[in-house]
Amino acid sequence: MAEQGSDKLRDEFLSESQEIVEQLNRDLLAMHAASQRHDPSGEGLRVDPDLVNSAFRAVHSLKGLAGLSGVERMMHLSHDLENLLDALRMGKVQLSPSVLDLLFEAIDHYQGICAEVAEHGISAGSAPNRTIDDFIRRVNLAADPEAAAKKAAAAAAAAAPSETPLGDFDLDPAQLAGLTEYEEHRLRENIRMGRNLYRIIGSVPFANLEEEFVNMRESLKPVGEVIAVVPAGLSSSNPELMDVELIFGASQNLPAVTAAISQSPLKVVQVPRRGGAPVPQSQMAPEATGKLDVRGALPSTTTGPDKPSASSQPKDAVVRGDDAPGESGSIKSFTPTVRVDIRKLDHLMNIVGELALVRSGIQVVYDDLRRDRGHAELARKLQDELRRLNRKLDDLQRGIQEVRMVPLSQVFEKLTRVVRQMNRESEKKEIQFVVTGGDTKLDKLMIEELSDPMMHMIRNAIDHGIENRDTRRSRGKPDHGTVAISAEQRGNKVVIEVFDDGNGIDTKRLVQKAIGKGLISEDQARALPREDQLNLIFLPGLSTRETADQSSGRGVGMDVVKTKITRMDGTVNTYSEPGQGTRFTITLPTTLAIIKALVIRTAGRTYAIPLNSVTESLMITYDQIRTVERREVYILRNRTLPLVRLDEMFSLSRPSEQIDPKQGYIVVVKLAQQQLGLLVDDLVGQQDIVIKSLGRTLKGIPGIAGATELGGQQTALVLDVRAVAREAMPRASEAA
Amino acid sequence: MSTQGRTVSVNRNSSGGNNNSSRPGIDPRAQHDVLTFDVADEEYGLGIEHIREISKFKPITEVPRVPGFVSGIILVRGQVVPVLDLRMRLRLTAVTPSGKSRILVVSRPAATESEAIPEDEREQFGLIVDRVNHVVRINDSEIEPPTVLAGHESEFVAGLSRIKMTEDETSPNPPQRTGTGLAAVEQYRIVILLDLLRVLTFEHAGSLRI
Repeated sequence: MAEQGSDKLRDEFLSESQEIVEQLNRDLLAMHAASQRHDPSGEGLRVDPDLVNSAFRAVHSLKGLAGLSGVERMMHLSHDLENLLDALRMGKVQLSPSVLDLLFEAIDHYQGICAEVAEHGISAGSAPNRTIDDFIRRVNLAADPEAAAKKAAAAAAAAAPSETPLGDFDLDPAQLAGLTEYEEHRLRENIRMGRNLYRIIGSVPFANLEEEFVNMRESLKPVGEVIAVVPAGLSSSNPELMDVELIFGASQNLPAVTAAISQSPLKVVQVPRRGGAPVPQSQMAPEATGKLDVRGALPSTTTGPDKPSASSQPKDAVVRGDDAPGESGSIKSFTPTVRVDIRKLDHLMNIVGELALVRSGIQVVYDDLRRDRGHAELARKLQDELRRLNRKLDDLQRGIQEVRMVPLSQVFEKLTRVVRQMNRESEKKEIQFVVTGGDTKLDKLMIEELSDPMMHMIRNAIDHGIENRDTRRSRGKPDHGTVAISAEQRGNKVVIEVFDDGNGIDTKRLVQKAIGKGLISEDQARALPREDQLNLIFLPGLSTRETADQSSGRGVGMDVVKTKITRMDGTVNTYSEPGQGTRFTITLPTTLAIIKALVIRTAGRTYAIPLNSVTESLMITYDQIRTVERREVYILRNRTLPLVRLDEMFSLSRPSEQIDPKQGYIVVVKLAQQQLGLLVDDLVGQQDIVIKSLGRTLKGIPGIAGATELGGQQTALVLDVRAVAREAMPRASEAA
Repeated sequence: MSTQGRTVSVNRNSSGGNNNSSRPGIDPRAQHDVLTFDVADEEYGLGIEHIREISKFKPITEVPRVPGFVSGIILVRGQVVPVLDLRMRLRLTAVTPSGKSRILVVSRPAATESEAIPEDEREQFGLIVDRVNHVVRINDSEIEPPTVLAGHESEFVAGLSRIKMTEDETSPNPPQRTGTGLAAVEQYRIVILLDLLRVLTFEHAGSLRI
């Protein structure tokens, strides 16, 4: 893969996984909080099924994302976590503090992987890592209690009495057992360097835990090293606080360390060396110590203090003291991503549009200045600056448009999950789902609008398109049906195809149905070319299947699909061969906000016609207009082009001097395969416009899409070409 | 304003307040500041709380396929604002706008009391008036119901109010405000209070579509 491509892949992977990990973290925190509110003395903590499900979905999404991006380590991690969460969901495993801790530890590992990917690229996320493999083993043990018990017994038998290497300091053994391998390593290093050890004890508000930790870390950093953070659960005195304890190493003395965090309500206690004064235990809530003990009660470690390597310890979803990438989590986000309300972008876009008007104003000043001989030099300078302004404005506009663009993979991934699920549920069908072009970008709003129609089409393809295995065999097709979606950008359009190699559309039955429901007459049906017969599928109330099932409804699908896509200024085309399969081709414009328009004048009024529907414009004299069946047409390159006089369609009265124009312009607009000529008086030119809504009261006027400001305080209406064409050629547009 | 606290009982059924009390939004003891303006030689009023701005007459972009009283649209701070010709809306004779013509930018009042749309999200409209006069304070108890007006004239009227003229108004060139025939008392003038919601509620070719 090209360097740039993999960078993009990495960025997208990071921003998305970050979001999901955050969600998972929130779920776990909520799960933790919920469990604390209830008597934890019973067997297992209270489980909120919604939270477990949400966490399950998050992990599942991470798995999909990791699989898609090729971050194998995260995929494996997620896969096994998914098992654990599934077991929780099904009640096979009780939620215990240790299980919760395991889940929290997962967050750190996810963040660790993200950090590595952020620094070294996607491939770094696939390298084997012992810590994570260890963790996965523990997750699997937790997910399968029976196996865990056996394992634990075996481990107990094999466990050698562990050394107490940190005996110099009077640290709580339960706490020591709770340290991760890395933390323990740092602890040893600090001792080796002859630093003093401190316990920093206190309570922080649960609500802004992360912020508190950042502050704490910031103020402590100049003095020494935070070796470990041990969140000890909710405070016994105040449920909104969380008791925490930091193990801190510093060469400085107690007053210096105390001074460093004088701003916070934390207490610093020096850990005495053996033989020194005993550590005052009173500062720590007894409950907290109890929790630490529970923490050690993982299936694999129930037999007491064991080898540190086997007990790399879970902790809460909070920071740990180190800067080593990948080894532990950090609360810093790894992608410099900001989520922005799309309306803010719309607002910015409007401002850009207005800036463009200011630019036109300056242009007028420049034109005046240029005519004045005395100011030739000034005019030249102004022109240079104007050019520069133009370029920057274009950049700005493109920049904002770019921000609104998101990859189609956001929709495609959802579809992948749906197909996976349907695949699982169906025994008679096997689906191979092929996705290409997920990196094609579209405006964010369109991506959201596309989600439902695409879902419908995929479900339809699987339910109605792909045949049962037996039928496929009898037709000589492979057992597994193929459903494919692809996307690509073609010019300023995005083309999305949905394909299945199944039944194809039975046009005969479709036509019969349409006649049966009175949607078309038999005469009409006979006259319909095959292509138009296929388009009947988009009529409301038509489904080729008598029975409806839960996933693909009762023929409400395709007309909704068409409506949605049409609303986005897109088109859907259908190709289908009986017995071979069906292909839907959706064509969409890439952006919605700012469009190029052809500004025209007719009967003294100014209108803007979106350029993406204009194929050409030509000047004619009115004696070139022919009449066919009392309708005006123009012969354009041997094709008959139906004409519409815009002023007549809109009943625009003409000023007396313009009453009988002798010449004018035809603006040729295109609607699917049909063309239509709009007869207007004059062409003004092309311009970028921002379409503004006409507001609640005036919206919906047939043929008008909105209004726009053209500069010089001039406001013009924007034509809804599709509606104009529909009105002018009702029959032709029906099939389109 | 000078009308404050005065009760003028020239009503046919007198004690104006009582039969007004059933009219929504009118509390007989309350007072209203009302902006008055002329349309086709009659004086109309709208509560100043509805007025967003008074704009000089400016080019209006005509919109096809709307009722004749919709003159078109203007942009006010980048937002599309439909403009209604109040003369035509009130079914009065149309004239071409003069130099004194103004566009009152108003916001659509809530349709029901429970409909709480924040002020800046309400739809705005422009109303073309012949000229803007001034703001007067009106006692709600002085407001007569529109039933004194015949038939369709009352459609857009919330009530009628008598306003005592100030000295300078009465003397030099009193405009022909006695046209309704209701007010014979010289030193008073009639202000027709508009039911803004009704004025702004209408349908067009596209309204029936979804």
